[in-house]
Amino acid sequence: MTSKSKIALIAVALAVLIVWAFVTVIPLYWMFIGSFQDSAASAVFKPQMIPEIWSIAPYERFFHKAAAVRWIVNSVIVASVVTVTNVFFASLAGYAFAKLKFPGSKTIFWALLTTMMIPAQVTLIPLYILMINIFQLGDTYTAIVLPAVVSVGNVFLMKQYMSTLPTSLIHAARIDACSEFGIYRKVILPMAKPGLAVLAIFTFVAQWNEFFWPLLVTKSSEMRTIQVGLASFVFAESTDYGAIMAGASVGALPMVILFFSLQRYFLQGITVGAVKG
Amino acid sequence: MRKSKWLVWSLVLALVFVTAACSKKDPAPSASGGTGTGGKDAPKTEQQGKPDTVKVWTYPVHAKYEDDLKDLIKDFNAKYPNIKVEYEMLSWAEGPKKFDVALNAGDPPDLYFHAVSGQYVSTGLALQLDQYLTPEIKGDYLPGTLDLAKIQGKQYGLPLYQFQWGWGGNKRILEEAGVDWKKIQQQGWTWSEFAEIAKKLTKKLPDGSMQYGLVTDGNGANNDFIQLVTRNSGLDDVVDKDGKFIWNDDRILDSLKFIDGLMKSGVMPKETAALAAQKRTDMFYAGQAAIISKAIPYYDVMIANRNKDIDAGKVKGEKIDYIQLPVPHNDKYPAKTTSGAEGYVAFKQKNDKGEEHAKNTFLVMEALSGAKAGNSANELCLPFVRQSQAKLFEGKGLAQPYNKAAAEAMAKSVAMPVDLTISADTSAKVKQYYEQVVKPGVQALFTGSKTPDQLADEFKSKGKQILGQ
Repeated sequence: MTSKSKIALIAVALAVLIVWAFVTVIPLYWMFIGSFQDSAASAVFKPQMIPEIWSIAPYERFFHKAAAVRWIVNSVIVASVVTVTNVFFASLAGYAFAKLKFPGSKTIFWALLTTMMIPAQVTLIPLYILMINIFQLGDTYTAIVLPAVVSVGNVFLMKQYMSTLPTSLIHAARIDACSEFGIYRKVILPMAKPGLAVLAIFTFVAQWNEFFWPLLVTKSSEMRTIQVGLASFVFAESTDYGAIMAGASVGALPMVILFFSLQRYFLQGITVGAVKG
Repeated sequence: MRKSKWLVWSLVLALVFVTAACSKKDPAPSASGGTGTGGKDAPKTEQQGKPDTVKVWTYPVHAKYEDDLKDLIKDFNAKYPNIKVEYEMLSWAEGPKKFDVALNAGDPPDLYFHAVSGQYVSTGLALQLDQYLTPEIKGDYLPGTLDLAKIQGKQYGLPLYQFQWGWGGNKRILEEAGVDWKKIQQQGWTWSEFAEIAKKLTKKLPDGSMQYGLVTDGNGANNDFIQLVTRNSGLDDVVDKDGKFIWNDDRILDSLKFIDGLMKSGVMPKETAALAAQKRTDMFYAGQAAIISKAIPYYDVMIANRNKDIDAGKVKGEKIDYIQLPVPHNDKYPAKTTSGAEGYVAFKQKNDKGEEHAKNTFLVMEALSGAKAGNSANELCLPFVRQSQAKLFEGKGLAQPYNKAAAEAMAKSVAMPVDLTISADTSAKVKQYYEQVVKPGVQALFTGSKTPDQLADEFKSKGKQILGQ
């Protein structure tokens, strides 16, 4: 390839990436500037890229809601707990399915995978009856968290990731009389950090954005998560877009912090297996 | 140290989880927090003196509705301290889905804010109210309003307000075109009268942009526009009050030709099929839409607030005086206002709590629908449904007097929702027809890919298939 065509290729790639970055960033920027504008202005189709009138009134309206801070705290608690339990249980299960030989392991694994084919809508009502009517767990953190403690998708992800780890190290640890949980904690977990970081970020983001289940099982304003709480700014014939944008901006902060704190592992995690040799 | 970092974090968060999971929420949350009024001071629950709890699921009907609700519950509890009211404020977008799940699980709330529906009745869980309605309560409701919460003649709900859908105009543009909007508000207008006026309202503005006579959200998000038009062509709905399919004659063809004419003459923008509701509103604010569909009397207050924001320098743009307008009607048929009632609908649960609980549910329902509850109609600039409400809020109206008068005039020609008389099965089929046939059909009309004749034929044949007639 000549240097000219190389430059042209890089230029095209850069142009595509810039456009893609623009498309990705604009909604976030819109959200941010929308949080400093009045509701009508923030919902206009062609937003002002730099608002002519800046106002903190949307933030005042958002925090004026008695439970606004509590919504964020609830989201942090729920998303953190679900992330920790998923990382713990999915990595344990992934390790077992990838590295341990036990009777029926394949059957159990495939049985678990088939549950992924069942649409969430099918299990929604039985789950609701179980949590609310039978266990009487309505309006509790347990009700929000319990169905999400570990997902089959995450078990599958971990099983695939653990399969790429060297089995020889496990054998060596076993020869050194390390227990199975010891192997998991001292050998597997340190090696699986990038995979676990990816799992943690994906799980945290998914749980942070979860709307319908927390809406279903909570009833008091104090138990709502940020996503459910923001919906209370939608009225019968109007919507307070400014306050929603302000709440969304505040609510996005924990995710940004999480991403940047795990960025190093995240990049390793998503590129693992991309290069051979 | 680093090796154990993950484990330490896991343990800390697991501890949070366990603590959170074990600490069940307060048994009776305070009213300020969103639910309940019994609070922590509520009497200790003993077998005999145990307060009965009535669960209410509602919506932010207007911006201050939660405050209103707390007041109403406070008044109620002063009278009935042994009945605890737990309310939950749902979101308009997702609340119906939550209710749907609860209803299907056999555990709906005792009271739910919504219009009555045949589908609720078919579950067997809707609570019939006729036995609880005293002559005083019946007499307080204005004529016809209670009927809006009946299904096949039986009372299942109490209306809080009577909603109205119409069109909304920009006073400056209407007056510049010499339109006598006051006369239209009171006497209505025909399609041919509207077509003449709309031509005057459609023009190119000095900045090169277009000012359209009529703009609607035609992006297929709803069927509001076609319903407004057909209702004013002698068709109350796809089926009549007996469930018979009626979109099969010249009335539907006339309606489609009327819309097609507006598109072809340029009165409606050629991009209508892509316009979302917000864009329609933006065009109205920008003076690019003389009239918008659909519009409700509450827009008067909403636009007045925007005018205040413009005065305060918070918003840039032209101040607008809002004019509530009726939808024009087919020259051969009378005007009909699309309307219905929303309010509280009562339910029992699969695990029935008994007659005493049902009576208490009705007591709460009446308390949330009484004279003071009329503030919802007042805030939304809608006609009151009870005499006591009209009396209490007399002279306190928020809308411009001419728009209030227009809403009252529109209330005189209400098309009764057919949902109140048809079976749940037919109602479900009508919904299917709207989703699968009407929505894409009207979009095709807006884009010009189907002619009115083709579409009328399609409506007839598909109606036969789906509704079996």
